[in-house]
Parts: sequence; structure tokens; C-alpha cells
Amino acid sequence: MDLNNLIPDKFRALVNPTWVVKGKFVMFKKYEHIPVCFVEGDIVYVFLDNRVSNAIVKLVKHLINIGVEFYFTTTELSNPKGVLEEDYHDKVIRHYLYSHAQVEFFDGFKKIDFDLINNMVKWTDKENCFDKVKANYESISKKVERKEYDYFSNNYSYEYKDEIREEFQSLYRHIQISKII
Amino acid sequence: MIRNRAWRRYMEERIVIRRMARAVCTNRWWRGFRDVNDINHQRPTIAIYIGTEIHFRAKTHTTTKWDTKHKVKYSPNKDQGYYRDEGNGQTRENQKRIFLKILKENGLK
Repeated sequence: MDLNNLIPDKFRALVNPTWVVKGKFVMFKKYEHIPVCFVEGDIVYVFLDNRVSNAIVKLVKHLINIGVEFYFTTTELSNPKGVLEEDYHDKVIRHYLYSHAQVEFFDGFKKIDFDLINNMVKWTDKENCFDKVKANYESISKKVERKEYDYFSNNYSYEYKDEIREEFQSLYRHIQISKII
Repeated sequence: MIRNRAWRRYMEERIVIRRMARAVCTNRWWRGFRDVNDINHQRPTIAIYIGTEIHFRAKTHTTTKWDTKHKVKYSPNKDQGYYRDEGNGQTRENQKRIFLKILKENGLK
């Protein structure tokens, strides 16, 4: 697969130098070149990188349009250091769920009508590691629902917005439904 | 050289990189630095800071007053004295004021 085809049409190298192909990665320039995706076999792996969230959303939209099979992965894999083999599945699942809680991806994927959780379930089926989802879900869920109490105003404040917290309360059910379908 | 929007953007980018590079040297801690993707880095680089508080601080600090002396504005007027009113008064704001005055005098505004 030619990596140049993965760059959204509007941002091809001749028109816009912010999207380039370097080595085995497609990169997006924001101060530095940040890896956005790579190809392994016939499958495209996209780094769910919150630093360049807009670029990722545009790339996903383009990948849906050209009809390529794609999954997401953690940004740690763009580092030559890599990750330990026994941590690999946990890290990717955790990153999927963490990114789903980020407002940039939550709103961005909603706008293009893309289901990130469904994609995660497909990936876990492919890698045969669905049993690791629940532990990671519980860990991220705790983080999302974290609240602080202000004694003087008698109010609770939350780090994540209401919509995301409500989504996370029933997310595991959504994961199980995606698994059955 | 045309000092258009692209040039201003380039200059701002250069300054943000410089400020973040300073943070690379100063913000080292044994516990590492947690980036916007919730990944811990022992030795952060400039790219790691993107999207974090350090990056936004580097982007918004752009004045030349005494209390913000480490923040150098990307404007071409930055060499004209300590305060913006100093020097020959050829600042962008001053020129704009003069231009508006001329327009008003000639009934164009």
C-alpha cells in the first residue's frame, strides 16, 4: 500500500507540506513531524494522538472514504523504544478508552459518525484479548468520574464534561453489545 | 520579505519552539513528565509538550513589558525600546492611529 494514498486528498504533499511520508510513517507537522499512521500487512494503524487530534479525525474520515481496514494504536509505539510484549494489549486498550474520554476525539468522531468503541472491539477480536477490556475500562472509568468537593460553595466539580461521564457509565454495556454484533 | 499572516505564524512558531526548548532544560523531574496522551516520559522533548500546559503558556505569553521580559513578541517592532511607546514611535499601533486620523481628516472614515 502506498503511504501517499493515506494522506487526505486536500493535504497531499504538493499542496500542503504539513503532511509528509517519512520512512514507514505518515507524519503531520506541528512544530515537529509527529507520526500519524503506518501500514502493517494490509492494515493501517493510526496513532490516536491527542496532540494532533484534528489531523487524526481528518485522516479517519479519509480512511473510511477509501474503504481501508484500520485500527488505532498507542503513541508509545511510534517511539523506537516500543513497549513490552506483555503490556502491549493492555496499553492499546487503555489508550483507546482514554482517547474516547478526551473531548477532542469524543466530539470529533461524533461529528464524522465514527464508532471508536466498535473499532476497539474489532481489534480485540483480531488480537484475541477481549478479556483485558474490563480491567482497563474500570481503571479509566474511575479516572473519568473523578470529582472534587468544594466545601465553601458546596459544589462538586468534575474534570470531564457531563456528556462524557454519562457515556462512560453505560460504556461497558455498549462494548458488550458491539462484541455480540 | 512580505510580513503577512504566514510570516507571523512562522515567527510565532519559532518563538514557541524556543520557549518549549527552555522548558525541556528546566522541567526535568525524576518522576518524568506526563504528556497529553497520559504517557509518562523520563526525558521529554519539544514534541512531548504539545497540547500540555507548558505549550499553551508558551503560546499566550507575548508581551514586552517588564514583568514579562522573557516573552519576546514576534512583531518587527520588538527592537524599539523597552516599552512600546519608546523609540521613534513607528509602532504598528501608532501608525494605525495616524492612518485613521488622516482618513478622518479627508472624510473617508
